[in-house]
Amino acid sequence: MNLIEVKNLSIQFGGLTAVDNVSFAIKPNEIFGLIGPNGAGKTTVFNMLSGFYQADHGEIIFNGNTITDLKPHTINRLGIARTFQNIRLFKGLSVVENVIVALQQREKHTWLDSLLETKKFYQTEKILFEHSIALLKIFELDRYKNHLANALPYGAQRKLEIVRALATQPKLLMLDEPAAGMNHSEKAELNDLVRFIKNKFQLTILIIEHDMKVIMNICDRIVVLHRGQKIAEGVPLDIKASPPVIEAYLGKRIT
Amino acid sequence: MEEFLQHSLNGLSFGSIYALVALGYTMVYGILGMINFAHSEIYMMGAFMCYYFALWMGFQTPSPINFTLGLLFAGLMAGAIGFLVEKFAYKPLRKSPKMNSLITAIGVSILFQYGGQIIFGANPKSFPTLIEDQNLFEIAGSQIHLIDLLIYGVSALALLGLHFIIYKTQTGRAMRAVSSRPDMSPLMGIDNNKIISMTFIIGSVLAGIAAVLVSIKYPKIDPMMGSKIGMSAFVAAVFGGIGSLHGAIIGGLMLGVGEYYLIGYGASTYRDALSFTVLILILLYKPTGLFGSQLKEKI
Amino acid sequence: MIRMIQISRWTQALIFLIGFLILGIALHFFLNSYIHAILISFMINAIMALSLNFITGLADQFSLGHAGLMAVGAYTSALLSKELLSDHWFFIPLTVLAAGLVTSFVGYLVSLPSFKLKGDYLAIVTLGMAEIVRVLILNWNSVGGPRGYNAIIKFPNFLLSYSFSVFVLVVTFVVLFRLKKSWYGRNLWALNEDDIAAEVMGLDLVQSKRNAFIISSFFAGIGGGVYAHHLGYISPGSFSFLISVQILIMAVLGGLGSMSGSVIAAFILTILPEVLRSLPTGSVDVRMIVYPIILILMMILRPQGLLGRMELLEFLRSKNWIRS
Repeated sequence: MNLIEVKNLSIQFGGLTAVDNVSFAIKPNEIFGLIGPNGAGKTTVFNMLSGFYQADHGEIIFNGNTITDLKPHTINRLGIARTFQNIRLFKGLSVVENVIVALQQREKHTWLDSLLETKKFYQTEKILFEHSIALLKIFELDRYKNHLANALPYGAQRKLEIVRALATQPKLLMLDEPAAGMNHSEKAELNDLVRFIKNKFQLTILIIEHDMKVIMNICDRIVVLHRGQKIAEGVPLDIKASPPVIEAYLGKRIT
Repeated sequence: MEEFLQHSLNGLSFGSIYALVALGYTMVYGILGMINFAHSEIYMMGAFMCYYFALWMGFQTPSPINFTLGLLFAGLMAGAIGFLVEKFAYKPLRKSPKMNSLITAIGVSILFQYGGQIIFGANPKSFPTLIEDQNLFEIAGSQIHLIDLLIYGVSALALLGLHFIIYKTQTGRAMRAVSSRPDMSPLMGIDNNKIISMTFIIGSVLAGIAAVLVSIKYPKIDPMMGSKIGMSAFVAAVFGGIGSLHGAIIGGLMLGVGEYYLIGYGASTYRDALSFTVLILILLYKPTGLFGSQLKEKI
Repeated sequence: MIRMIQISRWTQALIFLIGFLILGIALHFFLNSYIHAILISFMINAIMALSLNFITGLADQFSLGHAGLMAVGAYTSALLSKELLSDHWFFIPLTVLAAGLVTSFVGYLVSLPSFKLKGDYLAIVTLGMAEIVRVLILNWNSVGGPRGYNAIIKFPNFLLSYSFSVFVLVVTFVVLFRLKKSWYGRNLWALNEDDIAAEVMGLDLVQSKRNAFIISSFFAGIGGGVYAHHLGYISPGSFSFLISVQILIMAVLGGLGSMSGSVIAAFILTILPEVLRSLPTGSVDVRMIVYPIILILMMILRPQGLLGRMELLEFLRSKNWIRS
């Protein structure tokens, strides 16, 4: 049984086919890579999976539900969380508030408790706060808890975005180029981080990356996109040796 | 049938005006993502500039030369005012939240309306006869007026000119580049500030020309004259798909014709409600308008 | 520096209320009716500014038709008390509440087309809504049409009228303030900061904005109701675009997102025109010159308004003028 199944997905932007008939399926607890050179359509696939773009053709089935035409917030509620290539934090909110916003979408609130400042209001606020701190602690971000999100160092911002995504209690976590802008040691850490997240939270993870080195170490299976089309699928070793992939990355070999 | 033709012709002439003004809204929206609330006041200023120009030049008798001069002067001055408004009111806020430029736009609009009442006087002025209207000929019982013909002609010329600028010149190419990727265009050597200024100038020139054409047909001008036409033109831009040039033109023409059918067939009290009703219907059922592409926000 | 003791919001509100009442009794006996009228219009202005600030400051959605919503509230309350409730001042609170409910329904209708697209469509739709409300009232003869609606029941004396206004203002303030500080306010803030990220957190953008506008409309209607029973006479001209602009400038001057800022700005801008009254300007309303200049200059020089997003106490604390 697959966690998510993508069938014949296509989308056009004003005549340009950005994603062309792409299909793949991810099993539960897999770390799955979506790779390809720049402009291959990776982020566009993400945007369709998370509901920001409506596919022109094809179907996305997540956990038994067809989510092709659903809105982003509904898709998130069904269990898909994501990060963004250009980090999108709530910049003016503090680190802990960033996480609370994610957490509170699943809490039962009543307007009346907030209005009357009842005991329940304070309890809920306290639980949200503690829960966020606990999450931040796991990723050693709790020392920044009262900083504004955009005051964090770059690597910490990436981490915070992941924490925030985890706070929505997803079944599938989608990371959009988590290594972008990271230095060597941070990239090495990323490998451990992703495995740690998968084991700790029992998640399935889908990663976009164009850095081959990063992805080969992390992923169980990989799909390669090139100019919107799927050109290869398999385990990292096979992908590395696949002629169309080499061609896509290095250009056509002159014979 | 005769009546229908007459209403259509009148509607087309008013629709051309809407189209000219709508282009200003749609161009600024396309490039800055902002509704320029002050656009309708630039339209108003165009009419007043032409009025004072005619007084100052002492235009006594209607003549094609006076008409042309008045039209050019109004266009020029409107362009200059548009340029100044952008430079002093909007540009300082380019980096701040969009809410701030919106508030400023409202402020500029009100300032022109009420400042105009103090400077020009609140009572309507009668616009000088720059060119004598006459019945030129009849088609199937409908009279063709010189003024309507002029409105068609001048609008068509202005639109052709705009089309030429946008699609055939360096500036036009740069405008399209800035409107699709303002973050990338500077890397291509484009000066965004200059292009944004150009956009305001072109939009304002069109509004100034439109104002003179309207004032010749309905020779009463006052400082509040922009607000009603501004609303309709904005709706025309949304109707056509905001950001789309061709959409603004088609939207303007359709709205103009629609309003004249309402007037012609005895529902004139609802004329003002039409544009608003159209707006609500579009927003409810086809929010991207006729020609607007589905917005694919860069994520 | 002043040291503040920590007390709950409700105690604060209560102290506020009692203080205001004592003040009211004093004012009742010592001041003339001119000052009385200014005081009550201040409170009505504050209610309106708070209402607008909720949608514009917190939900980042522009409303240019708050005067139209106010008109709906004013005419609803006036009609109800005259036609249904035997024209007794005792029923004023009831009809004002009903006015709020009716106006929030109008707000719901307005919200339907307004949030389909990202962008500032609410501004245009509310602008048109205010115009339609105006035209409808003009053509509605049983409420006086253009002549206005006369002899609306008022409170029998200043003290009652004052107490009622204070009560409504405090409730408005506390409710909106609490909402700002609650999960809902945090949602609105998050979607202000980054709406795309907020959607990915499972937040329903359209629903959140819609709710914000409905709440805002409710209080705008209440404000209109209080206004009708304060003056006893309303006409379509009482709710012109000028009023929408005046409400907007109050919210902006105080600081978008700051509830106490709105109250302070409402106070300043209620007094200011009284001072400006002496200027010679002929038939033009000088406020319409001064207001836009203030708006433009403020956007360039101090776009966050007096207090920014902060409430008064937070602001004072941030400046280290008081300690908590």
